[in-house]
Amino acid sequence: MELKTNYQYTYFIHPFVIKEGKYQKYLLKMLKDKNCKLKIFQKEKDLKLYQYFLPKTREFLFSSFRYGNTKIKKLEELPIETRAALLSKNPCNIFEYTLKKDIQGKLEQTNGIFFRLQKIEIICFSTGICFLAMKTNIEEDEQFSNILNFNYKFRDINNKLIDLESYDNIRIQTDSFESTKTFQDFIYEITRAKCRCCKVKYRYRTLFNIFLCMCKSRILE
Amino acid sequence: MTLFSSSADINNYTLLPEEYENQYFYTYILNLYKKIYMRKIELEFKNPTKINSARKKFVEFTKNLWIQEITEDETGTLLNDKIQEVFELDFLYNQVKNKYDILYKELNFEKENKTTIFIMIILIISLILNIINFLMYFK
Repeated sequence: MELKTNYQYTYFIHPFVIKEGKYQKYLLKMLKDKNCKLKIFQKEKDLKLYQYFLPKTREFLFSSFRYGNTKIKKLEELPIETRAALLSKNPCNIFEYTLKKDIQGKLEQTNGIFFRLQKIEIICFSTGICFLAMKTNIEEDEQFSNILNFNYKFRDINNKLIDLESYDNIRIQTDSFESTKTFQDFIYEITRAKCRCCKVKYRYRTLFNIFLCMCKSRILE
Repeated sequence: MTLFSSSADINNYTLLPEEYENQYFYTYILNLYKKIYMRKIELEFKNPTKINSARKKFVEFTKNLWIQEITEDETGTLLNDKIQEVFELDFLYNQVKNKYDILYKELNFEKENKTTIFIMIILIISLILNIINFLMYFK
């Protein structure tokens, strides 16, 4: 009896901390990155989110709700350094990161579980605590066991010893990155800011917390 | 945090994933943030040079984040309470609060001590001046 799924996704969250006094420089780096875009929340577009959170929490998490169209336009017209300075005053800023696909097409599916990185968000709090959130989705695979295997494997993707742990025989692959090494480099670039002026200090152990949403179809014989 | 749902109800793979991806996702992030921030403050309490700033941060955190309700949504509140329970946020908060209370009392005690010493010095100086004045008067 095989458990199968209709639809699923998993969010992997990687917390990291920016050294005190370097937060504005980190925001500047995010704004300068062409792959990075500040996420603006608007009442008309994100009504459910607006209605769900109470005003104080909404103000804390989504400061852009109080921006009008005029203010958003003015913010975009400002020099990038001024924008970074203004945004650093917000308790929380959320950026969306768009990945460039390095490899066209899929690798052989028989080799491993093929996944896609659907979305990447960088959630930055003014205290320096930030989160790299990655939404993954397994393509063309209904097997529940593969989802579990993938989640188990991907949790340690940032672990330098991951290549040594191939005894579990679980292979994962994507068209977004060439290899685990390039993916680790990508995480390093976001969380440790390859920037001479920006000293980022990572103080806490790497935590990968899994957040999964999945629909189960009928159990097949 | 995991959600399993049946495909029998169409809302389960249309509305529900969207809810989890937005409202409940940010609820989770907020609670994770609270946990990490409290750990950070706890670490700063151990550093003598950062105690004062850590105390202010703790007060601000309590005022702006800890005591605030996140949502009026019933499911959201239940979920938030569950996440707080799993992350042991109440225990962590009480731990940090105890350290804050001890440091606050110690700081107050030191301040009182300093004030007492200052008053003693002034009294001794006044006494000395009075004695000198008295002796000069009788000369």
